[in-house]
Amino acid sequence: MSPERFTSLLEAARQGSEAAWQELYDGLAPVVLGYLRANRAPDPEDVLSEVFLQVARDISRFEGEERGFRSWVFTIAHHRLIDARRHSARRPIDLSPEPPEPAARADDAAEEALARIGVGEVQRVLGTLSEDQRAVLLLRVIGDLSIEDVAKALGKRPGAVKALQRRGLAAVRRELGQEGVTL
Amino acid sequence: MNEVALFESALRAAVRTRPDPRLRAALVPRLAATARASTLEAERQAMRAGTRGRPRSRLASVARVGIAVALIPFVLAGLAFAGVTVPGAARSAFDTVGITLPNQPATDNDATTTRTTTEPSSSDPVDKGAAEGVKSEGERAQKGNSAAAHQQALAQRQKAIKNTRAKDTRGRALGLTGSTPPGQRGQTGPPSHSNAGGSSTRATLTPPPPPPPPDNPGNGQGHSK
Repeated sequence: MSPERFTSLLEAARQGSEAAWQELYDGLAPVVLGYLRANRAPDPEDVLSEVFLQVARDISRFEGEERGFRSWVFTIAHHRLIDARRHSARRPIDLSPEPPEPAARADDAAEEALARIGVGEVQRVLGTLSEDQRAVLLLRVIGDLSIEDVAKALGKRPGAVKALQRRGLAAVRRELGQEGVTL
Repeated sequence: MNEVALFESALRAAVRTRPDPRLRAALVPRLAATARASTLEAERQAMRAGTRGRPRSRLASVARVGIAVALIPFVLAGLAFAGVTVPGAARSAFDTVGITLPNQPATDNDATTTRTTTEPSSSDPVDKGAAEGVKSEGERAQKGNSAAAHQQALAQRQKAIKNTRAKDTRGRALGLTGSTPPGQRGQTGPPSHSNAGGSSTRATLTPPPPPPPPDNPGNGQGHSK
């Protein structure tokens, strides 16, 4: 999306255009929902609604381009995820996470990788990571955020984010090597 | 393709999920309404902040400083009316615009003299006279003739000093001034050259006679044995 197009879309969303909100929602909701599910958010669609409602409440204060908007939405999603975890800690936990659905328009490389590894294997490897490592990897891979944006979203320094990413990828490599995934 | 790249691709494919279409249908109109209300509220707040915030702050501070500066002459004039000697710089500033502050000495030296003579000791007649002079000077200064009054006060003080010296000289000539009364020097009797009360030499040098001895010391009470 060109910067001018994004600016006009943002202005329309601020003025309350439903078409603009549909476009923003369709572009961001799948990845945000994937981030929430991969992080094992309790009731991820409910958290997704809260995320977008906060985006709508604060959009009049947002200033920036498309990349900054994406980073801002993921920052809100991360904070809402933490809130949801705290809230669910006081309630009985449902330990049967909903399995993620394969994307309708995944590219060839992703389809090929998914065919080799499988959704269950992805979930298992993610489960071996620490919360911070998982959040960093998901924001980098799914959110497509830079190190600085991830650091801002998680409230950490970029150096700490780099270290978490390095350790997380090492853990992934180790887990996949143990399972004998070779290409 | 190594393991990590493969995992990233699998992750992208695995977590891309389609939200429930019913959620989308319910949420999008709500999002639009919330954003509209939020934007209107933000515009209203910005308008309120614009009407009362920016121009007032600088104007108000300038006005406060101006009022404070304008009040300084009034405060000084009020102090002068109350009888306080204001500093020379302030007095000269008033003089340049043609205003004479009341209750002020003519010069700084006069102010010093006035301050030193306003509290005389009550026993010194010179200071008393000077105080009277100063008092009369103060009264006349209120009438706008402070210099002449001050001169008169100085003349009165000189006169009082002269009178005091003259009295002092007369007393010394009679042998009274500076002498101490006889009863206060430790001399209780009459002078040595006087005959009053008999011979003072015998009275002071002869010891008192011893008591007479007993007639029979052994027959006293019978206890000596």
